[in-house]
Amino acid sequence: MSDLLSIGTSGIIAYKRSLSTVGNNIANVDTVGYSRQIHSTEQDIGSTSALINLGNGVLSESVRRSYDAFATSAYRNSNSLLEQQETLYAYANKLENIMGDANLSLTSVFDKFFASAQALVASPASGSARQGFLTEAKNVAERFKLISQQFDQLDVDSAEEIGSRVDSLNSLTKQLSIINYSLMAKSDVNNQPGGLLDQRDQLLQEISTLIKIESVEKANGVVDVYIGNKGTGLQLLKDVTPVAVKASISKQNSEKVELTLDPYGEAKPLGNGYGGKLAGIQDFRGNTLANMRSRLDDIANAFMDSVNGVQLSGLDAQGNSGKALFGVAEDVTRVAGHMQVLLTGVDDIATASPLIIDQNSETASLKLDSWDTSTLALNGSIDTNITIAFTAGDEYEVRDSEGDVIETVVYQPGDKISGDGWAASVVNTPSEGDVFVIKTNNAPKGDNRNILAMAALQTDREVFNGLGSFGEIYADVLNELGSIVVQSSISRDAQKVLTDEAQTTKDAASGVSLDEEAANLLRFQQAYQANAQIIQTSNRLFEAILNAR
Amino acid sequence: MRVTNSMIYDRVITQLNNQQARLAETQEKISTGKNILKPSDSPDQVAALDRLESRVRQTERYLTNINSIKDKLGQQELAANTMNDDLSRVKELLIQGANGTLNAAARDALAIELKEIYNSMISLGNRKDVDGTYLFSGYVQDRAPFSFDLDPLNQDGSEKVFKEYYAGNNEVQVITVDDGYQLEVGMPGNQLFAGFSNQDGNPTSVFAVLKLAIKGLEDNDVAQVSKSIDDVGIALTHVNNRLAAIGSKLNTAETQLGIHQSRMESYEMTISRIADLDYTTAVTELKNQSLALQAGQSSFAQISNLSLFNYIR
Repeated sequence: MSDLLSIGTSGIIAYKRSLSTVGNNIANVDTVGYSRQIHSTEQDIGSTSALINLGNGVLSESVRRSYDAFATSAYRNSNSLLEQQETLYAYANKLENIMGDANLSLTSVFDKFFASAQALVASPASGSARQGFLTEAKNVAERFKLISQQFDQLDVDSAEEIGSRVDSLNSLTKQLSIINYSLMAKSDVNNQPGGLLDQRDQLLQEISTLIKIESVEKANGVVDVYIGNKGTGLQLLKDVTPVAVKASISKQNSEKVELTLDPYGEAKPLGNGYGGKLAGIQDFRGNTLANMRSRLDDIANAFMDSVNGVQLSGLDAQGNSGKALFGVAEDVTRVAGHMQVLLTGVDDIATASPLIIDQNSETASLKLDSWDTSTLALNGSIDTNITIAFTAGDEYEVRDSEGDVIETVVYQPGDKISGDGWAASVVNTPSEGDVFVIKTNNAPKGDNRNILAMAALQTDREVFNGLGSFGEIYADVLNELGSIVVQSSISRDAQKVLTDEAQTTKDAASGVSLDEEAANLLRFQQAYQANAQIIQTSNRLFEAILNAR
Repeated sequence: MRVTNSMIYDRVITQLNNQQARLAETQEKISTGKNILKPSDSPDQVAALDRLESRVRQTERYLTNINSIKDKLGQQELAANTMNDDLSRVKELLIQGANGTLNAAARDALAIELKEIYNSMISLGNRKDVDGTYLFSGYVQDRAPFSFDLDPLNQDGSEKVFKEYYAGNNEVQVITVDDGYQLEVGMPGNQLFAGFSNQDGNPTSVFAVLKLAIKGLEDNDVAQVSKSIDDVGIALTHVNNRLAAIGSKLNTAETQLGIHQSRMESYEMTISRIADLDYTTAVTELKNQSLALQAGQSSFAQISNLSLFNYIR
């Protein structure tokens, strides 16, 4: 039966619900993860068998979340990538702060080292110049160590962050499994409480900041969660069963952190290929940091090799063949952090060339171009005495220490003259009677020819195969790092725009607009008042009948 | 599209944050006076700066090297000048000694002064520079090149080979004054004190010439004294030639010094152009940015006042 009183009552009840919904929306205007709720009504069509069909008033149909599943998952995915970029950028920034610090510059410490070599060139016999050279060598090793320690710290910090992020990932997955359990009580998602679904979505959102996921919703609102996307088969949550993720140091490479899904069951490696903070940290560790460490090691290796090479080819102040200046322990993989100065005494610095040339010529001279002490000192000590005697302007004899002729050689201007462990060239034109005796250097203390070769390394581009000198290569590394930071900042900004866009789309569907709620408040208030008027009218009609006489 | 409250607030907060970050960066640039604060501000410029600053340090080193060459050459020049004065004095004394009216006692007196000159010549040859390196010894640094005990003459008065009383060797230190360019630091003792022939065409040394002159005076041997006058003359010419050689090396060093100094200026100008802040631009930027921030703030204040609730009474 349709009567005015029950119609009015149904309206009062319905609009009171609408007003409550609006009130709830306004109250939750700033609640994270809250989706605007809409109270929808339908007409009560009453009896269909009656001849005249009068409506029975209004019915509450449901209170639903205003929700766009596609916009929500699009936002989630976009945000995963943004978090990845943000994390990468933040770490790259830290690295930049280390490398960009003028107090940690390699160039300045290289320059000082070579300047001390130059000072030794000017005064090879000076004890203080020798001490200065050793001190600067130690400073170079220290600087490499200092930079390496900063890298190590970043390595430790980022590995720890992976650990704590993985912990929160596991805890979030567990919370989500509990929500799934609650959702199983009903069979239709439309009957699920909005608040519970909001909580579910908020957890999915939080998980997606850590790692990119795809969620698959079932009819009752329960979600299965996959890492990356459904196709990977890497299931993080199955109904009410969360699957754990574990972070561990790789057995093959101590600088690598491996992520494993279901480590104690069907262990599956996660790799680095998924978005979110975890991917950002892994990306930084695996690419940026590892690359910078390798570059630093390359520079350290090239520096040690070339400096040691010069040291080994010379004679020290005592006339002994030079020993390596720098070294690292055998089993070290990252050499930069373990560089050591091996020489202890100032007299160990090989400033001298092992050979000296006696000459009698008025016009020409013989100049040593290169020498190699290790070849010359094959049988323990250097004992060279070779005479180059020009018997004519275009011919010379090579004689041994006894004066016996070993060979006769035709000479053309520009020809190099060489023997085991040395090479020399003739300056100007030799003539008959010119005699050059190449012999062991018996006065190494004042000889600066070898340390001159050391000082020349500063601008030698061949140490990096023509790519640049030590300072230039380091500047390139700075350039590269700066570019990485710029690039990651550009990617981050671009991703930020996309994510803002996605968030706007999601908010447009789910967010609360106070103006809209204010209008609805008025609308429902008026409807409520009008329905109250219907009850009033029904009362008057009833009174009219009672008062009829 | 529905515009929700969180959209308005989130967007405003993001924008105000961005503006504030930009403002802070400009402010930092102004307070440090630097245009580039970190590598990512301008990666290629930072690399260029690093290279330039390294060039400046290298050039500073070259300047130090050149100054040390100039010091050493200057000391050699001083020594050669002293030799020149001493030999001129010797020549005067010998001309007196060649005077036929002089008796043996007077020649002995001349010989005494010559001996002093000979001794001072030995100490000249053994001079060290500021860092204790023998100036005229080549690579040999563990002993003095000349000695009072080693006579340049044999018992019979004939000349010894120079090497027999010269402990140094015939090597000259070279010092780098530019990339791949080295200058010789002066000359070893065998080139300054010897390296010329006497009037008979035999190789001799300043010491042998002096010793022979002393012997001539002591032996009252006028013929020897007259002969020595010519040999001292030859020695003087030799020393003067060497002085000229030292002078031209000094000139080269001086030229190189000038080159480096002007390079240094240009490096420093370039560094300043890249690294130093253009205050006019920066301050204008700061004003624009603070204006933008203020506009953002006041527009936010206006928008946030707009609410339908204000009109529902």
